Amino acid sequence: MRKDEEIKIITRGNRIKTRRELFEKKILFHKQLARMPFKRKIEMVIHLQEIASHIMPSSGKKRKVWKISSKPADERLKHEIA
Amino acid sequence: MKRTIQAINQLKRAGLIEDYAIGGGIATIFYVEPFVTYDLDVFIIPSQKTKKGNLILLSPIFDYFKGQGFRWQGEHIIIEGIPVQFIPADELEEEAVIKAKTIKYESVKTKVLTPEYLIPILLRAGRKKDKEKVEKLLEQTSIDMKLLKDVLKRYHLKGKIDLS
Repeated sequence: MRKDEEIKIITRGNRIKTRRELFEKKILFHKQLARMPFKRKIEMVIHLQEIASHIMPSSGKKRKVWKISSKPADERLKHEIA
Repeated sequence: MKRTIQAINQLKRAGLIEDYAIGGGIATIFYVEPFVTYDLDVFIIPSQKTKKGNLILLSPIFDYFKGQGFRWQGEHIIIEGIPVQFIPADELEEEAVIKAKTIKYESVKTKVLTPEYLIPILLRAGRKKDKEKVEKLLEQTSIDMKLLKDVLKRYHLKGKIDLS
């Protein structure tokens, strides 16, 4: 185990975590996202397209945000991505 | 996306394709965390109506969708706001379509390529973004490694990845 992996970090609520623990949580977070229902994932893709269209409006390629009927842009979704 | 899938399913009913499965970014997203992508890749096995010897005719598919009022944008047809690209399957992709997973999206049946076939197809394409998808698949979903290795071996793609 590398020494820097054991560096302690004080996080939300004064909880102490090591860098290794922090990255283990990160991997778990990505795996949780991977297990979401397919429909929710498609909704998130559309939300990501919207975000991308705002942050890189002139990046060369013209990319359109999907306009599908069940498109949600609710706060819950924004929270999940954040 | 429900209407998009319904429209693609109509192609099969109309006898214009034998079968199809979703590939590319959207198929990858079925197994991993969502990421930004802009088109829907659909691998198709042409039917007798769209295959003449070694020639694959996409024009009957184009005409069919044109008749349904959908418009084309370059290589994509825009169905319910989603750019869809139809890719006639080669040998590897045809096997992938046949063995694809049947799923339901909002109660509509469709097929999605499995990771054991998506990975070889992505490795063969070999772009940076394809390799990123492979990494995600290996990290975030369970894979039948025996089958994956078998597919990689049969299609001479073993050298594209180190799975040891």
